[in-house]
Amino acid sequence: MGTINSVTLEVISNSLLSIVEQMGVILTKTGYSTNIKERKDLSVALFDKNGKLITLAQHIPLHFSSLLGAVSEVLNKWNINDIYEGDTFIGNDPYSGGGSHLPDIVLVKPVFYKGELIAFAVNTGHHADRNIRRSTIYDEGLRIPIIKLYEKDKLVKDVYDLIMLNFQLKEERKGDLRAQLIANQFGENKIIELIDKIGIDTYTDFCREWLKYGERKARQSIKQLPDGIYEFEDYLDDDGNKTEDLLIKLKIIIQGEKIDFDFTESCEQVTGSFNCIRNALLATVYYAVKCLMDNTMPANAGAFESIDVTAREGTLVCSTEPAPTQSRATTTQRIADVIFGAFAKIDPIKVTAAGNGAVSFFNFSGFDSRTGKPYVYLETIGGGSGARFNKDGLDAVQVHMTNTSNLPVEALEMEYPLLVEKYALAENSGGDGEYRGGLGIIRGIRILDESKNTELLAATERTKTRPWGLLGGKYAAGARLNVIRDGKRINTLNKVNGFPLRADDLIELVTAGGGGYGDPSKRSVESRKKDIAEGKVK
Amino acid sequence: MANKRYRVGVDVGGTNTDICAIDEITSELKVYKLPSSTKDQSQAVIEGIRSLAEKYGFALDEIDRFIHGTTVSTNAILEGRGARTALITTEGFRDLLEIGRQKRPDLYDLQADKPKVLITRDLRYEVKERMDYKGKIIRELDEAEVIEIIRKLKELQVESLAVTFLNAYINPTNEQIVKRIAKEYLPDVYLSISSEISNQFREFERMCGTVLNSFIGPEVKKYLENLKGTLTKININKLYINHSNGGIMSLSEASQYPIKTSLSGPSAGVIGAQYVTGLIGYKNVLTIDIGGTSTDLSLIIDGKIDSSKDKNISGYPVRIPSVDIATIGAGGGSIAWVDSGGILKVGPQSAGAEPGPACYDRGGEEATITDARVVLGHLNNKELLNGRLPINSGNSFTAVEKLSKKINMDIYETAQGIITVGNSNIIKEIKKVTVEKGFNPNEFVLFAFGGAGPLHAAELMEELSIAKAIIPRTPGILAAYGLLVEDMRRDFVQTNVMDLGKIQFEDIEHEFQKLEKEAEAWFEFEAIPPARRVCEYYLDMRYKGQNYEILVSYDKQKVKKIQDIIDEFNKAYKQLYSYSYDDEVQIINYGLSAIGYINKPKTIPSKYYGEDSSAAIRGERLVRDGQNRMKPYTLYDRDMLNNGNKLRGPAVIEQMDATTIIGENQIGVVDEYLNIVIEQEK
Repeated sequence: MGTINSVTLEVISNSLLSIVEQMGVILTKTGYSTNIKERKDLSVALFDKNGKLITLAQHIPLHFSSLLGAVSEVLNKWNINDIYEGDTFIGNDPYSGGGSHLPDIVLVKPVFYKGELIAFAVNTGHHADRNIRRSTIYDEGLRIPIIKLYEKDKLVKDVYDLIMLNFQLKEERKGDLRAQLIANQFGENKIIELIDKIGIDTYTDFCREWLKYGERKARQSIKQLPDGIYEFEDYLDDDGNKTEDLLIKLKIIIQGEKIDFDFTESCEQVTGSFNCIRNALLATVYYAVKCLMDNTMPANAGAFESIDVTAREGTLVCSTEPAPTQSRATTTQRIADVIFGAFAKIDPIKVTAAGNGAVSFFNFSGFDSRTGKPYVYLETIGGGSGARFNKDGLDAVQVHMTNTSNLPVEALEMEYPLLVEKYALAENSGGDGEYRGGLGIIRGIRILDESKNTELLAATERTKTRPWGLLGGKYAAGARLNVIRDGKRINTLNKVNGFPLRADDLIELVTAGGGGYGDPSKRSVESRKKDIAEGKVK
Repeated sequence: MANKRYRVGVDVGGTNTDICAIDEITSELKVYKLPSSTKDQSQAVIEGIRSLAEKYGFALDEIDRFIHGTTVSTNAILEGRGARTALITTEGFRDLLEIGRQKRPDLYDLQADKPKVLITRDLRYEVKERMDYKGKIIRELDEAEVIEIIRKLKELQVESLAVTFLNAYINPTNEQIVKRIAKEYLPDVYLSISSEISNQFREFERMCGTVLNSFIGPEVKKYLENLKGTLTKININKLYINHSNGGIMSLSEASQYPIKTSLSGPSAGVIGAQYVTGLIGYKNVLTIDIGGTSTDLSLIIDGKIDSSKDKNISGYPVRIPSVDIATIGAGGGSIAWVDSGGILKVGPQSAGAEPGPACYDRGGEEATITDARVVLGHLNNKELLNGRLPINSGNSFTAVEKLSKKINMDIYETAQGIITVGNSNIIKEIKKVTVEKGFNPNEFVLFAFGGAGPLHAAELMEELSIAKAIIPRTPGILAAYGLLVEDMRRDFVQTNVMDLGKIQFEDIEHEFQKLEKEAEAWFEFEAIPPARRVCEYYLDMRYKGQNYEILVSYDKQKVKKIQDIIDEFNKAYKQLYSYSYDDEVQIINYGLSAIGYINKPKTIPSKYYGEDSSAAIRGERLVRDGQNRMKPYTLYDRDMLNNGNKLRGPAVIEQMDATTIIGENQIGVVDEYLNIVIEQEK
């Protein structure tokens, strides 16, 4: 191992993890928008000079797609001789910019040590600016391929101006982009400081050994799984554009130290915004592997590349241009469900029943007559998590691919012309079983008089195919979006796009619960009594 | 009338109850340590002060002030044991307590659970009422409904009640009405309302703090009443409790706001550190308290304790101003292990006090940081605590050897590896804590205390390029010492969001005047004489549209116009984030810390004895250094060291409850207060 042993491996990996954690702190604190600062819709990573992931801060599993995508896009597209010290690349496009949907903007900073490229500091943040869902990627907003925002420490002003022109909330975008730049700059400084201390040779040796360590950990956990082929399938309700029952089908093939997640038989890509590019599929598989095989596995390329993922281009889970991808997060939730479902056949103790299976959200946009300015309020709502082999699922949480916080009601009402009327557990929504699935959430928002030209963009999932239970556990209750005017539900779909709202309309999003686990007749009397006493089950 | 000359501080920790008394006339310090009584903390407290008085030959009624750092509320929260509590809240929001911020506790661990919900759903009641974000009532409170609920609560025999309405931080009217009704119908039920617990926005955190307060309230109140009864019987009448923000309060206030004592334990240590470093003129200090299972980190910036309103206890958010202490699971008892990929890891599992490290010979078989130090020779290999704790060094060697085979290194390399990895965990946290405040670790002086802090100081200095470390005279009882030097303190905070572009300077003064009124009432209540009253002011501010506030001190003498405030904010912002904007600035919270100044015990510098430390040398100890070479370290007796003594590294300094190491190329100097100041040799 050269200069690297069991101790240095731990100490240097700790130092690098510390650097990305600190970058995350800086991005959160310097960020401008609510979405970055309060909801922490961001992620940070370090890659080696070959584009191999070295370390990742724990934020949003799905963001790994953009981090991975952007660095490989830089290396694909740019001649190594055209990458300079002081450059920063920017991108968001799923098909050419490393992104997974357009709001996630990723910044990549190549890090040089004594004139030589040695790493990439990368971060991404969700820019909740305009939120458009159309039938092709061309219509979803400004597409940014991987291009330079800075060259040799100099802002490429034309690029910056072009990007800024396309934003509606310019101050927020300016502040958030700046925070992203500062976070990467900080990362660069700290890596250089570290190498000054340990020496470039030790650093290079470390990167190699660290990836081997990841591979070793991954191979070991694969080896413990029984050889075989394990299949599962599930559906997304629809693509919001009239294509229904979107099949996601998985075959896990295990042979010795090899595992392949084969999604070949999943359905074709759609014109609704639910398509998922290959990198987002990879991020989902890696998430599931960490949960199900070994949660101490390091998030590095050595571990991840030991896992094969097969998918067919042009499908829902491996889309190609011009498929729109804005809502891909919900698709990745279903992919996670499918992986858990298949894995249950390998070892039911390791998994949970299906969780709420969506990134349910609503997005209000309009004109705030109090401030005389346009506003955009985006919120994702959690739901139930699936029951476990030994206990109930969690009520009211984000599951799988996302874990953003809510915006406090008191902060929201200060900032937007909206009134929150209800934020509650959805009773009876957890699937029955020896262990009950977690409950979904109801969030109800009233449009105030001060909000003009209000439009709603909202979507939820699991309105038709409900979250499933395991080993006799029952289905959870499904989700529902209600736009209520004068006491009546006026929307016909559970996904709406640009729905015009009036003052006094009430918008209520009810998210799904989690599936149950085990035979309901085995549920303890005390648990049933408690559920009824608390009104969680009626 | 007895001669009231002693001030006594009693700090109750998980393992020990530490007592520190100072003779206010001679400035003599008297110290006593005994095991904590877990069932009823007050047993060891009372027994301890009796033993201390006996040991040093004074009568109990010579005690003037009694200052207590308690963990009764902390333990109640950690153990999730508390009163049968009910909640009354705004219609539509009773589940807020359970939903929280809707995050799951761990990204990848499917077995992880959210912290236990302290009030079951059937005891969470909703009433019709609503306030808008400006505090305007948009739905009148239905008092009949409140009365009906309160009657029901009586039937259900709840012991405690918490009330949290949306936007009540800006207008507490409806909460006050419920309070009035509850006092009338349920006089014996413990009550907390959110606008009195924390007048800040963000409903979940405010609700959670209010609920916690009610949950632990009855038990804490009972404990304090009993203690008061016992102490007044022996004629000790000036009784104070240490709170989370490094100040003391009366027992009656502590009974009303027990949540303010939830981080009481560690805060006194930081106050002790502030006092000791203040005496010798250090303004920027990184305090590190390393014990058996955990490490507490905190910053003193420009002489001031760093306070935060964003703390967590056992997973519950507590938005009460508290000394900003970060805790990680790394201490002398942290266990070393090899993971499935062959990496050496240390902690967070700890051997704790029982069975303790392998060398304690109480059945522990796994190698801990302490065992690694025994192997390397850092620690005495025969006994610790002046012989009260025998050490079996053979056990340490066996445990470390077992590990060394797994990672193919020799036993000493492995022991060194355990120390290095353990330190890397601490260093990671130090970096995070400092970067969050916009600093580098090497901008601070390291102040190391706790049983194990003095062992790590030299290593941490080296790793973090910190120029200076200070080891106090009594590192093991610093928290009890801190209690002796604390002032009375109460923090008043009020959220009132104002855009600086749209208000007059008078509006700000007016807000502060409101807080001053509250402070005034408190000063009167606590009978603090006018000459001893001090008010410190601050504002929590942010750029409009942001959601993170930063604390900006507000100097009444200097700030005369709005622009001054903006300038101060931009300066503070720049310190934290290295840049600032031209954007509109908002005030979020008004803060006032009311301080009732208490005379500090006199500390008399000791006489200068000169550089020669040879009188304290007890010989040499062979220690394995970082390069795996056997080196003779000079062995000192701490009790024999005098002002001015110089200690050339490498050296080991032993005292009853701590061992200090000075590394190669480091020099220690004993100062006039008998601290050891370690510096890198130039």
